[in-house]
Amino acid sequence: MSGSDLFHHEYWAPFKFFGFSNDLLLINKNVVIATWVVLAIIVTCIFLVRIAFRDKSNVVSYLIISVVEAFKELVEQNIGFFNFNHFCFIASIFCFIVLCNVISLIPFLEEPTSDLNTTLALGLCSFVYVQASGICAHGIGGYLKEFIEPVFLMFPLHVVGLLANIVSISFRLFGNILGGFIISNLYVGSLLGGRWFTEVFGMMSGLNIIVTLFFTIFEGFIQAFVFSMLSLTYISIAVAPKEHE
Amino acid sequence: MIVEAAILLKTMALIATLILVIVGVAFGQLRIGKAALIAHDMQPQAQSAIARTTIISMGISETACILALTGIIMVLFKQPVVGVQEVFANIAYSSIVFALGISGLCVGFCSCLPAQTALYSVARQPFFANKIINVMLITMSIIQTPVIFGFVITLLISLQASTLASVNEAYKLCAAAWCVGIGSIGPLVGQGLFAQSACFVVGLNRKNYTQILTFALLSQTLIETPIIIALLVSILVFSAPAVTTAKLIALIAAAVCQSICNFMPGIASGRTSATACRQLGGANNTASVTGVSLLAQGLLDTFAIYGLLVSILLIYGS
Repeated sequence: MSGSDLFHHEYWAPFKFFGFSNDLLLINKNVVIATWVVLAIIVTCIFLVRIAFRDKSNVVSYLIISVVEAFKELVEQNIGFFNFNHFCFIASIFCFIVLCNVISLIPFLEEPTSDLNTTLALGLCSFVYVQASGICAHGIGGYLKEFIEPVFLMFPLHVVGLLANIVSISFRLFGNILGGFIISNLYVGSLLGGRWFTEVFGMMSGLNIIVTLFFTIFEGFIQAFVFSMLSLTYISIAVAPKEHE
Repeated sequence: MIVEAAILLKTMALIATLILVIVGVAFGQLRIGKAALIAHDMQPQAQSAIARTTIISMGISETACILALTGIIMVLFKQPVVGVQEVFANIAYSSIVFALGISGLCVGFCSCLPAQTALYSVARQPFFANKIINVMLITMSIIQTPVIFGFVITLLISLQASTLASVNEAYKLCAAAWCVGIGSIGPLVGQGLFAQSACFVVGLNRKNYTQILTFALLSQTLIETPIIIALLVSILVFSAPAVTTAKLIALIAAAVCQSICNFMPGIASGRTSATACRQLGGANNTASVTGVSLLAQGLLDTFAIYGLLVSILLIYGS
């Protein structure tokens, strides 16, 4: 496998018809298709869950209820009280990232989170939500007052720190998933490039399963958990009641 | 002849990066595994909580290794450039040893400190394991920041390296990588010390969990300030043109200045907040302890800001 295969993306250029041919207007084909597949899976799951809830005493509804209870407990423990908006935000961002990370189990699809645009968008969503909930909790004045504590000179540092949060939270997800993607691709390339016995070796030794388990499922869950926990903690810091009030 | 020497330099740098990161992360995971066994010995009934803590902490400390591997593979599979530009590109690529190698080594060493104490805390308070894991996860994932910044700089370098016009530009990219790699050592040690005491205290006094988490995030942001300043200087060095040799020397001096300036503020700020965090375990004067510690850390960060002033003067001065 050569380098051009590894970082080669197929692009759509919908604005080329109107005469615009900037690099920024290109659309990465794999990312868009995989993201729509993820959304379709989520919507299908929602309808299936509605059907399952017609009879509340079956196994599926018990499992769903226990998962939702776990999320509710997580939000309650971290923020200190239950808020339906925060719960919805955290649960949906976790489900979306987990499905994005493990979507490569379906053939011909790539993880959308191995593209920087997706993770940067997720980081920006989380950032905007945290700032908005901070403003809702303390009002504009209380929100702006946090920037000049303990002294006025700290204002630029607080702003740069907030921007660095976006970079670190989105590049953490991006780097980990891209690393798993590259390693799996190299592994598959080395298997398919060899003779028949390398393929048989991969299947019989269980190495295929280990690579998939570790780099796709384990890393995907850990990174999704880290992302949503960091967002949740930022929310809990932003909405925490101040001590001197 | 000089082309082969540059290729050799790049290859050695890639190998050195891999070795440094693997040594750091393997040492960290060794310490985590040892702590898990000791914690299991202290409290055999908490084995499921201990196993969960161990798996999560090892998974997070693996990040440094995966990011370094990704950077190395990206450099290896770049389209080769022909002619004299190949020499410049290879010199620029060899700076990955600063950006990812050094920071990965330190991240590996430092991120095992909170995991160890968190494991002992879980053994002490098995019913409180979820919140201890939360504190450990937050502190450990903030410790990973330098290696992410190093990864960003490596991405920028690998995008830029094939279009270099002179050898000065290649040395300039090396200076940018040096700044973000060496400049994160001190703050990393500080963050490790602080995270260790935070995970220790949350196992002592579970009623102070909310205050400890808030304090941890605030003071880790303050300890992290030198790292962010190093990233800023690194990007400034990266984008400034190095037309003459004198300008190149000024850029290298700026990078070295900022990276050396970051050592003591990071360590001192980390030790200050670690001591304050231990006070939070028993006392009920939380507000005054937090205020004094944050003020002291803010004052300590001014040394890094002085370094930033000198670096900006060096970069934009005539």
